[in-house]
Amino acid sequence: MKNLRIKAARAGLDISQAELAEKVGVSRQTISAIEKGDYNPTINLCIAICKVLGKSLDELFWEG
Amino acid sequence: MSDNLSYGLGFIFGVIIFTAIIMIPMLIGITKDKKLKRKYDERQELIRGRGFKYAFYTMVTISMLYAITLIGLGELPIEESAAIVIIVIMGIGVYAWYTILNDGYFALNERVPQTVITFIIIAIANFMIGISAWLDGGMVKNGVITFECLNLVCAIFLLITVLVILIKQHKDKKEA
Repeated sequence: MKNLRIKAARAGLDISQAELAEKVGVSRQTISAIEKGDYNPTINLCIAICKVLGKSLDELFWEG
Repeated sequence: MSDNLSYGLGFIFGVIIFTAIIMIPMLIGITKDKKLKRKYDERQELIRGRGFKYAFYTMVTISMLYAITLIGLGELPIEESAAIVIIVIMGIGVYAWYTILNDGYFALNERVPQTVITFIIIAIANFMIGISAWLDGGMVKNGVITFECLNLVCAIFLLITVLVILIKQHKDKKEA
């Protein structure tokens, strides 16, 4: 399932996939795969993404 | 001592000395040096693991097919040493091409153009040695493909790998 919330949060901060990838220490393709729903990140990576985007785990990853 | 045995022992000792003096210290250096150590993210590690698995299955399958064919026919028009190395190259190929196409081959701190240039240089060198072996008639002796075909096989493998890298990069540029 696509994760549009990460994409929206990223767009809100005006940062590219490559910039987010560099900040969390992964490749741009990994961020792209997470946004497309092709890869389920570990909890550590989820937390790192949340910290950079200033959002909570629920806001970005919980399917409510 | 026959010439063949001397050649064989020299070859084996050469490989052992090369490994002991150059490869092992180099690998230890790369592993210990944080700057040289290749870093992969969690998805890349997953892809690399799958790549190793597919390469393993490929090698097992081809080895079994080779063994069955050899038992059935008695002999094949290729030297056993060459066949074994070609099977290993096929396994490496499956690993390399799968991981390249799924972004697991290159580390986060690796420079892709540098690697591509190195591959091209090694491919050209192998291609030239391979063509020279072909022209000298050393590649096929008495209707049997000899060990000397391996340079050409390596060159073809590296050129396909470079092609796969370029296709992947083109695809990535379109996506970005």
